[in-house]
Amino acid sequence: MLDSPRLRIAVRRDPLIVEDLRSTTVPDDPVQRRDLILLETARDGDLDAFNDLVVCYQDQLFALIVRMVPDRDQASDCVQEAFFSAFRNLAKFRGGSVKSWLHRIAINAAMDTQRARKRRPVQPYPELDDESWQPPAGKDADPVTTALTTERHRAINEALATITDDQRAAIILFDVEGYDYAEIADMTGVSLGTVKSRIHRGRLALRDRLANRMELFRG
Amino acid sequence: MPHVSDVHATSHDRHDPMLVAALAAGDLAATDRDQAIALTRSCAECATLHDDLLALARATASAPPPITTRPRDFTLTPADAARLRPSGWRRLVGALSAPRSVVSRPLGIGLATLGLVGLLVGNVSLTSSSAGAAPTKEVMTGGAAGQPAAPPANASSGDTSGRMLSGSTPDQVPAASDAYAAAAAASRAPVYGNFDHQGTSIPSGLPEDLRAAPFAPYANTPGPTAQAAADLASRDAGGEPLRPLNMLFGSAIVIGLGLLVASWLRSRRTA
Repeated sequence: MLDSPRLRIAVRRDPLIVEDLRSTTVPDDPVQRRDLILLETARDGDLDAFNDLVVCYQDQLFALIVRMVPDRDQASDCVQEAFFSAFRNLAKFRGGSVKSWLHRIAINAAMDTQRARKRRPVQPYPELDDESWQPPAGKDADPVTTALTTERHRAINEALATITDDQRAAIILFDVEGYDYAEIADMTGVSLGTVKSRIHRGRLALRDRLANRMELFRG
Repeated sequence: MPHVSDVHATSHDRHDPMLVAALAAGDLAATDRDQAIALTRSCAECATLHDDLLALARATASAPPPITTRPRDFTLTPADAARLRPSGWRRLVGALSAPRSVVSRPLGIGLATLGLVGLLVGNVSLTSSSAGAAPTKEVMTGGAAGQPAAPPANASSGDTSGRMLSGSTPDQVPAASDAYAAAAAASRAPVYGNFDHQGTSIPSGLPEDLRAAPFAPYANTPGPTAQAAADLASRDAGGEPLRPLNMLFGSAIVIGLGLLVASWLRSRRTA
């Protein structure tokens, strides 16, 4: 019976290829798998599952947004609004990376805030005047090196705050967050060429702003 | 973008910094890349610019955010969740517009089809029934008591009573389009009083339907007042008041098409 031709055909038949675009497609990455499980549970009405996602990503999102929106309170409001928006639109999640989805929502919130800020400008980065924060240093860190690193970070953050919002967003997403051009184009809703142009012009603008402090970055 | 001959130019101002920036980002290929490399090799300032841009990219990537401490916890409270959860019609719209919704497209097609069929069937049956019937008293009398008669909406209805009363022959009966043209002309030059097509006055002692009858088939009769002609013109232009069923079917078409457009947009986004 096991040699029956029908059985052989049945065994040899390829599995049905079903294109499944739903978010329940299980990815290989354990972090993505965790995110999708949390998101699916949150979709079913579990607030704790959504708050677990918030706990996972609130630091990342705040670190991203605070580079784009140079005001602590506004950045904080942006992140909160992004999580509100994500909760409101749980049903609209199209699959893929939850992290990218949250970043996209947060970037949109930040861009809205930046547009509003142009109408009501505020003092950028008031916290930069606060000298209390220092980057974590190793046990055997050279004080000169630490001071130089601090000064370099301070200079680059100040310069970043002075370039245009679009250029800053593109540079942060590319250099800091590590997204590729296509992902940034998708997130910001512009063409790939525009993303490249923004990054190139933004870097040239940074160099222009830091012209008299470039020694900090050379060598 | 400079030509290759420009590479050896002495002035750095003539060189394209965007080309150098693109080279630093690794975005160039083939000829452009060769040209940019030649530029950085021949121009010291371009070479410095290239190195600076690379250094800035590294510094940006390693720089911590300007504010490292999150000012508050962003978790949602049950009150937030209750406020943010869509309710009522927003929930319905959200469910229909969800990517996993399988009902929006069939529902859209169904509603649009139902609306179209309803409109067609309703209006065809209305047209055929009105075409087969004689003009109503309301149409013939202009729609209001005491008003002069208006030409009928359907001049080919075959009503001969008016002709018999006024003594005219059937070949004098004008076409329907003439009737409407005359009515429009009458609206521009209003005529007061009731006259038949020969200009004779209608006895006021006649019953209302008989008084109205002679004017019905004859459109070039100067009977209709401006009000009646305007009424007729509005009927001719499709200005008939919307019936509830028409509105219902129209709404079904609009909602159905809206659902189809929404599902099409969603499929484009997903693709």
